[in-house]
Amino acid sequence: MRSIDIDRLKDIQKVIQAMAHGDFNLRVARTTEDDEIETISVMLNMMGEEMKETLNFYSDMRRRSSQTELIHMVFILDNNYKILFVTSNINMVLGYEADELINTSFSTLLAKNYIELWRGIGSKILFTEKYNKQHEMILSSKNKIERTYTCGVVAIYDKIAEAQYIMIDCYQPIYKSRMLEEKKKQEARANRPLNKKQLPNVLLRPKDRSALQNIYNYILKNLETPLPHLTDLAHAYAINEFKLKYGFKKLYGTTVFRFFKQERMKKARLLIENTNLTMREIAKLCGYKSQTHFSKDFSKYFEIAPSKIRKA
Amino acid sequence: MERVLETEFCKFWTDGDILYIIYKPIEYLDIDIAKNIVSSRLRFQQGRKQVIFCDTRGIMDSSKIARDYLALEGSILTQKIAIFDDRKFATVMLKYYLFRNVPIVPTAIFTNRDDAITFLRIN
Repeated sequence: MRSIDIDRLKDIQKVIQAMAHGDFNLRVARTTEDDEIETISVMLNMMGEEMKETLNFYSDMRRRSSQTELIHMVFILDNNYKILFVTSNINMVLGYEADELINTSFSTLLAKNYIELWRGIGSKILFTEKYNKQHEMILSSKNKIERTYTCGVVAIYDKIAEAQYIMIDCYQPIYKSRMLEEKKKQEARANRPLNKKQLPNVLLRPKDRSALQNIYNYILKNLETPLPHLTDLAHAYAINEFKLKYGFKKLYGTTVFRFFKQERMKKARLLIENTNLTMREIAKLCGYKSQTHFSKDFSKYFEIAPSKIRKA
Repeated sequence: MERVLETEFCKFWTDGDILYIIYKPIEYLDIDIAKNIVSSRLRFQQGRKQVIFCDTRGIMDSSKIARDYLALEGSILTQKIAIFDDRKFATVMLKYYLFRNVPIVPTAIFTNRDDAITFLRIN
C-alpha cells in the first residue's frame, strides 16, 4: 500500500474514533483521488453530518436534560486577513499554539476545499459596509483532520486608527451521545401506565415514524394541491389522526399545517423572485385556488406583499 | 431556439426539451452557492417546467444544508432529473443523497451520459 494511502486511512481512523466518543464535528480531509478510500471518506463525512443533525434534534427535544460541551474560539484579523489575535484554547481545538499563528494568514487554518470560498467571503467583508454574517466554515487542525464550525464574521472599523479589522467568532456545540444512557429511562417511562395529562410517546414505534416520514414526503410532493383533511391523510398512511398531529410536531418541530404553509410560501417566494410567471400562475403552482387568498397568506407570512417583492 | 447562460458556478443551455446544467469546478458547495444556482436556473427557465440533465462532476464536496436545499428547492419547476457523474466516490455519495432526500420528481443517477438522456426522453 502507498504510504499516502496509509496516512489517509489513519485520518479516517481518527474521525471514527472521535465519532465513537460522541463528537460528530470532525471531517476527513478530501483529496483529488477517486478510489475506495475516497469513497469511504465521503461517506464518513456525510454520516457525521447526519449524526450531528440527529443529535442536535435529540438535544432540542430534551433541552433540559441534555449536556453539551462547547467549543468557542475568537480570531481577530487585519485587512490582509492575517491573524492578530486568537484565543488560547486554539491549542486544545486545532493543535496549534496561539503564538505560532500570529501574523499568519487565516487561510492556512482552512480546509483546502474551503479556501476558495473564503476568498469570496473575504473580499465581501472588506467591501460591504458593516459586514455581519454567519458562515459554516471548515477548519483544518494541525494533524490535518477537519472540523466544521458555525462562524460569526464581523467587520470592525476603528475610526480613530482608520484601520479595518475582521472578527471571526467560531462556535460549535458538541452534543455528546447520551441516547444509550437515556434509552433505559425512556423504556421505563413508556412502560408506566399513561397519565391522563401526559401524551403518549408516539415516536417509539418504527412503523409510526416511517408513516410520519412518508406523510412529510407526501406534503413536499403535493404542494400544488390542497392538503387533505388530517384524518384522511393519517388513514392513508395507516396511523390515526392523534399520532399524526402529535408525532409530526415532535418529529419535525412544527404542525402539519404550518409545515405545508411554510413550504408553499418558500416555493412562492422563489418563483416570484426568479421568474416572470404571473401572481395567478404562482398561486396555482402553490396550491391556491384564489389569488387574493394567496396574497393575503404570503403578506402575513413574509410581512411583505408579493407584488412589492416582484417590483424590488 | 438554443439558449445559453453561463454563471460563476454553472453553464445552462437548452437543447430540445432538455435543460442541461453543467457544474463548473466547485471545491465546496455551500448554501449560498446552492441558492445562487437554483435562482439562476429558475431565471433561465422563464417559468417553464422542464426535464433536467445535471452534470455534477465539478462538485468536489458540499455541505448537508446545501444538499438539502438542492433536493427540495432545486426541484421546483422540474419534471424529471437525470444526474450524470462518472466518478467512483460520487456515485456512492449521490445514491446516499437520494436515499436521505426522497426526490420530489423522478430522479436517477447515471455514469453514462447517453443513458441519462434516454431516461429524460422516455415519457
